Amino acid sequence: MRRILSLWLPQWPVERWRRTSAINVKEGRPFALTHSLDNTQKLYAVCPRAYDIGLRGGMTLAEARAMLPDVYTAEADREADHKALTQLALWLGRYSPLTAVDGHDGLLIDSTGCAHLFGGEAAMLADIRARLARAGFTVCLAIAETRGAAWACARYGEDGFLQQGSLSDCLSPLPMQALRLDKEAVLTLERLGLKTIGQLTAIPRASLARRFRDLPAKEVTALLTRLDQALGRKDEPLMPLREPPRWQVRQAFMEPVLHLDLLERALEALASDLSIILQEAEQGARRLVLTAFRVDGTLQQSVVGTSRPTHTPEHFCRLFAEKITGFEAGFGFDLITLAASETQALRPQQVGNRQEEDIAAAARFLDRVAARLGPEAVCQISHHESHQPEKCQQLVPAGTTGLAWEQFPHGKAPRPLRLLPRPEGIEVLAEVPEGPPMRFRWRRLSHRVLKAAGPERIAAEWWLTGHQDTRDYYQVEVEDGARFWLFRKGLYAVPGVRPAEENSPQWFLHGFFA
Amino acid sequence: MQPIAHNDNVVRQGLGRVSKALPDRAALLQSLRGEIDRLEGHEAETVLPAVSVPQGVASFAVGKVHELWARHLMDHAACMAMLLQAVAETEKPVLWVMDQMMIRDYGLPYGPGLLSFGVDPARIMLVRARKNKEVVWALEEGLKVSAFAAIVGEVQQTDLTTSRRLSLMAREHKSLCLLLVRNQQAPSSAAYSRWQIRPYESRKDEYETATPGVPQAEAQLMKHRGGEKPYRHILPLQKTEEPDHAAYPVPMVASVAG
Repeated sequence: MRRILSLWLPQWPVERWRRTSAINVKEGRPFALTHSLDNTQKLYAVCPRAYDIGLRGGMTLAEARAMLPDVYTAEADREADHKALTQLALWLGRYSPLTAVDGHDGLLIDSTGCAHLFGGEAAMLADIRARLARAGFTVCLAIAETRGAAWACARYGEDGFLQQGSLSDCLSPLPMQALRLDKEAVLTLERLGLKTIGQLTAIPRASLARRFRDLPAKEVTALLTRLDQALGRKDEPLMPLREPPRWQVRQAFMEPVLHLDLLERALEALASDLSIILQEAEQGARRLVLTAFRVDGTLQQSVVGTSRPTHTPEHFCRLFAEKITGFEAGFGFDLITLAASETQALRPQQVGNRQEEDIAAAARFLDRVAARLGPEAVCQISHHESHQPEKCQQLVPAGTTGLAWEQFPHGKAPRPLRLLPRPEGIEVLAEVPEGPPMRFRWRRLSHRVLKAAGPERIAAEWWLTGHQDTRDYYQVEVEDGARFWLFRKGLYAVPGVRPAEENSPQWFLHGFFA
Repeated sequence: MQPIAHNDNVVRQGLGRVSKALPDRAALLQSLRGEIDRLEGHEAETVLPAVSVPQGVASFAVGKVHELWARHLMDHAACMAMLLQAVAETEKPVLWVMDQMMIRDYGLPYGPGLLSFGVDPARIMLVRARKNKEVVWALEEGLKVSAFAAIVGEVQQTDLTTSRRLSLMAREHKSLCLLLVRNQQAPSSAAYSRWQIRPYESRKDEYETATPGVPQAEAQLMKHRGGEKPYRHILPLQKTEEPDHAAYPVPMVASVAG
């Protein structure tokens, strides 16, 4: 039997605004959030006090001011509301891994099989209510077998409702709005004298469809679908915010943890727990996620990757040691989880193999470098099939196998030991037609060429579109012995053979020889 | 006269005695050094092969930090070639740490060039750090791993503290640290040896005088903690192989008949 917990936050925008805004509105003062709609300022949400006086969401601001001149108003931020709601849904992951956002003021938790961890459903609801109340949120809760029923009970039933009997029993006294129908449909039904869900379920289903024949077909199907969903005759899936991780361990704290060294100690325990469950399943982690839930309903997360599957707890700890220093405890953490979000098969290995251990040690080191300097910091030089010198080599992440260097076409053509990321222009002081320059200036130093070899003509592949100039590469040795790789972009004009090109040839320095 | 501090090395009787005592002291120092090495569990290394090795290829003792000092912009590639020669013999990967500024100014090691130099580019594990501090961190951590043939760091400068830390780390884990220092000024450091490398005019090919021949570099041993005397050497940067394609002038007739 499924158990769905529905949370309704009736004053979500107002309370969120109060929580995040720097302006402190006095408790007793009526307060409303506005938004502009159809070129008028309208009320978006009102506080309970303003509601009592008679302000309602959807009123124009002018109307509200006429009723209550000293109402305090502020601009609503629906995007931030939604973002905060998503954050809250993630935070609710402490109760169950399957949580979802429901509309603009509700949340859903699939609490099937989770309630006993918190001492039963009633205790779990009390816990949620207490925690959210401490954060300053009003909440209505209900648990039922279906999503529709939980939704209805949270909003129209008594608060904290736990479905015990049959679904139709608990739904029958609720008004028609509880079926998640649109306003017109509710109005039509009420006109027909159908005010509660019980009255609707009393009518046989077949005759119900027949009776509303004159209604648009879409509306009838919507009505029946909603009814079926609420009564559990039709399945309504809950799209959780994230896939529940398969390998996850958790540690809750009695008191909020304020110091990071305590968090580190807890992480050590979690790492060894995770290592045990991974070893039992013969899996090694490739990606680890550490999530710390804060008391104030936010969470902090850090992700690390490994280049080889591993289940060494010390390695997990060291990888996170680089990251955990960036965590901000705020008012303290009360729960941390460690999950292996990506795993790979890892068979038990023979110990004492020196070569294997060396490779593993190098992999562990590179993981730590990647954790600290970023995953793109560690790379290997791989070969790429291209004639163009700068495209001929590629940097690939360490551990990935690119094109092997054995396949590189060996030639007699000289290649430099180092290549500049982009060729640097040089100023040619003494030019020789169809040859390397006699003198040139690079980075403010002038060089006299003593020896030169070339040219080696390199052009882009013919199938590449766009006009790319051919390059004539020369290996030159300058006066004090340094050897450079120069090239000329473009060709000189040869009388009778080739006309002058639009741009006169330019010279570049591209690499350094030994 | 009250001595400022007791120093056993200073003989206070007279200057004449000092110069007499000197040779003994050098021997004593040598033996004490050996003793310290033995106490610390290192066999005293008989260094340095550079002079004794034919062709004069500089070799670098494992468990130490060695500096290759490129004084000028143009010396950088020669330094790198020297460094590659030291690691070309082994098959293990080489950790190569550099920061973004070095990449921008001096480029990246180039695979095809390395290949023709006799070093498999796949062996090079490149770490691109953002700043110098991260380079030093990566070097220190890399020295703890025995899987690498050498830990190469390209740095703009080193200081005494950094190089001392690296030296201790290298000694403890018996790994080899090669620093490619690009600086106008000679940095103060605790490295075991320092070589200043400069490119040198390539060896002249008998038949091709206009093109660069076998590249050469001038290596100058600036300092050495093992007690090697400074010297200067011209080294070829490429294995000299007999050119099989060259034509040799063969006298058709041994001598003109008389």
